[in-house]
Amino acid sequence: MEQVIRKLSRTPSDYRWPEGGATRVPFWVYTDDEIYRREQEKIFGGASWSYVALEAEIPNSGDFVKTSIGDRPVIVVRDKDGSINVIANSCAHRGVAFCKESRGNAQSFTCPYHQWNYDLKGKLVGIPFRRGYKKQGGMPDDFDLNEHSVRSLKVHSRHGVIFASFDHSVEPFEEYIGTNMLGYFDRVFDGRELKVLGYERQSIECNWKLMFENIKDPYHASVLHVFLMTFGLFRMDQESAVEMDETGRHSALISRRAGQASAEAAEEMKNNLRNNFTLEDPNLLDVVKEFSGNNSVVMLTLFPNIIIQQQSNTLAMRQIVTRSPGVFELHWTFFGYASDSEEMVKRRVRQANLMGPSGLVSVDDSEVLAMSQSGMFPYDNHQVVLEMGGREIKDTEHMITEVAIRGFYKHYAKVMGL
Amino acid sequence: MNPILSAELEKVVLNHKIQTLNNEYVLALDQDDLNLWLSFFSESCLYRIISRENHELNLPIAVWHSDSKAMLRDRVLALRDSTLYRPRYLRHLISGVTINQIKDDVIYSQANVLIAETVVDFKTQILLSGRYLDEIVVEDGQYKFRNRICIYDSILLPTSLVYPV
Repeated sequence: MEQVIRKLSRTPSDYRWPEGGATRVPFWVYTDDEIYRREQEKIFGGASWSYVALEAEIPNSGDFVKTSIGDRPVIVVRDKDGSINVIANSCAHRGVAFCKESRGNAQSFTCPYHQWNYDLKGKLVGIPFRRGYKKQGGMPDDFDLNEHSVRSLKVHSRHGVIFASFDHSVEPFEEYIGTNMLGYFDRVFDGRELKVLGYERQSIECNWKLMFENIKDPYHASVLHVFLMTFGLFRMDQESAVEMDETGRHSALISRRAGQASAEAAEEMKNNLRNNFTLEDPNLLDVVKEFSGNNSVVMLTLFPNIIIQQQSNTLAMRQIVTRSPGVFELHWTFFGYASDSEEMVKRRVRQANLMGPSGLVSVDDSEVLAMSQSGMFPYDNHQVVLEMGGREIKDTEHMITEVAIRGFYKHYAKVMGL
Repeated sequence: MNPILSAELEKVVLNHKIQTLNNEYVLALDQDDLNLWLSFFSESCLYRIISRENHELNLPIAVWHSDSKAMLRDRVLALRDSTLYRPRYLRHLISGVTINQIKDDVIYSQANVLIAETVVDFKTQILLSGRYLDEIVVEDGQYKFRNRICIYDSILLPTSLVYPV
């Protein structure tokens, strides 16, 4: 009831970005139904590339997985010729989300309601009683199957990672990502065969953008995450950088592992740094260097729905699936390489303890994000302040900054027409 | 005593003991006594919380994976000292405790579990529904879990799974 009153009380002219540009974000972008609807249309349904799956999940023709872009259900399927199709999981007849299984292998898809049958490209190939029965009923003579395919998306796969777009006029994937971010992408996806190690999913009670921002915000990592700080996995006194593409929509948080914190850094982090906390079983953080260069952490956020995590030896796709203004789901796909030794798999599995719904680090985030939503919803005429590291938007060589969040909202406001 | 009756009685007693072990285990968790909880594991142990999906697909990733008792102790320390979370209460309901097999002094058993979670200020919700798959051994005269895997049915968990289950 309260939500309805709020929505009705906001007129079109109220949807105006506050003074201060990207240094301010109105709370209503996190809480408003109309904004959420517009995001589905302009962002997830618009000219963007959304992550959908890894090729390793659908190695053989007919293999499929179900997923969502924003909140729209889609099926990712490998066609008979080895190519990949992404089609809407919504029957062209009456809208039924016809695919029931999370994954499997299919020669074609049949809607259970009236048995409309689609090939792996989503093309309608058969409907029962099309000509009626005993000259009664049936479809009109001019009913054309070709005009009733399920919606098919534009697909691009790079080094085993599949992206899709509802807008077929979207710019080419490599241009969309930009040269710099593509370099970080190819660092993890260098063409080696990937191997899925497992899935985790959690429904977090906050707006999806708060998750995206969280991975663009290195500032919080040095004050909130006691575990990361104490063990030097990601900390403000490390060599680090925040880089973006030209639009500001994608970003990379880059860090190099450090030893003991300096006295000055320790003073700033004193509330949350535990010098007496040591691991009784160091196997949890038995990190080995596996990528060239000195970076030990690269967290890549690619607009609009994927966080690619390389934290020490844990590699994961963190896919954002929206459900409502106040709820999103985080779908984790942990992976390694087909060439990983048994020891390496064990290491990745142990280090995964830091992540996910029960993660030694991630719990801090999901809890604080839910607390953010609780504080924003009732005060939705207020605004976020983003001035850490200045007011401009440019790459930085440190992590005491909110610059990548400003970059994101500069782009967001443009796409949303706000 | 009649040998058949005696064997039956032995089975009933063992069933009762394993049931009691499970009851005491969840009581420790419901009372938020994590040090007591640790005492239910043998010195060499494996404790995991894994989705049914990963379990059935034979995928190794678990939301919680501790392959030593020291790792469990590290987890408890982190929970007490480093993790941020909203205060909450848990209530475990255990049923269907069943001994599947006894082999080489190891008891292989299972149990259903339903956990209600009450985050303070919020409505109570079901945190997870699943089952334990256990291997129980006798250590220092006590039954201990050498291996306890909790396999939860829904792949989708609520905001966070803070405490062990």
